[in-house]
Amino acid sequence: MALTMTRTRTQTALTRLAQLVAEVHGELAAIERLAREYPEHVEALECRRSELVQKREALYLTLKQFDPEIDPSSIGESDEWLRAFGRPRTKVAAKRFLSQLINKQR
Amino acid sequence: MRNRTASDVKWLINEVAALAGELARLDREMARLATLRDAAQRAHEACTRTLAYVAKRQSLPELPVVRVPRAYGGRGKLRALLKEVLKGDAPHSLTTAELAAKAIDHFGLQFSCPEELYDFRVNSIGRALRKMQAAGLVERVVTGERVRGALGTWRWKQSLPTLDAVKKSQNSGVEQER
Repeated sequence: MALTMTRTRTQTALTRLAQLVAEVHGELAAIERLAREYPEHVEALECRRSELVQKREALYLTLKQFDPEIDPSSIGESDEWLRAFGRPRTKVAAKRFLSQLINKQR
Repeated sequence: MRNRTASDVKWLINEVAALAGELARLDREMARLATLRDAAQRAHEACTRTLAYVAKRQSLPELPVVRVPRAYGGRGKLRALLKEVLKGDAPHSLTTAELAAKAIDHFGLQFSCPEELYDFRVNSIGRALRKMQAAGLVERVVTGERVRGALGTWRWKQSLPTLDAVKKSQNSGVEQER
């Protein structure tokens, strides 16, 4: 892979970064919902939340590096991250996600 | 009767004052660079982490350290500014130093010492102008009078008609009148 000296920014790169931010926003929102629904598993959820907050900070700074005029906090939420656990926006997928977090905690 | 300060004491007083000024300037410069370094360090760490998220399954080679060219907000922006300024002032000419002053003002550049400013004038502005000269866009003006610190005088090259072309157009005008 040859490095480019021009540091050319492409729409594809921006779209991918924005998707990652939207997925983190979506996952954080889902964690808040799950914490309200399952207060007994709040510890496992909090552990994942702190990881996501760090990831969000890194992504925000990366987007600012891409274009200082972008406001990453204005990017919406996406459920694509949940696809690994089943159909997004279904309770089954959310439960599979939660059980994976609980298993990780153990 | 006036007491004369001994020349060795006088020289030392001057040196101490000058060195204190040099230290104060270096401190200011180091503080400015430390702020820039902090921001670059944070951005580097964030981009490295993002790279790890994005290229999860991709094996990455050992990343080299690349020294990027001085940023003017994009590739070719310095030459674009020089073109705009010289074209706008045509047929008048501008010195390298005047063009450098306009670029410094436009891009908000800062230099820590006069040597750095001189290098910018000669290396960055001078090289860009010489490239534009090679491309036939600008021409060096030989004024005959030596201007201290000017580092060359330049003007936008205008496409003047050749003598043959003028004669031809005159001849064709006379024939049309007949």
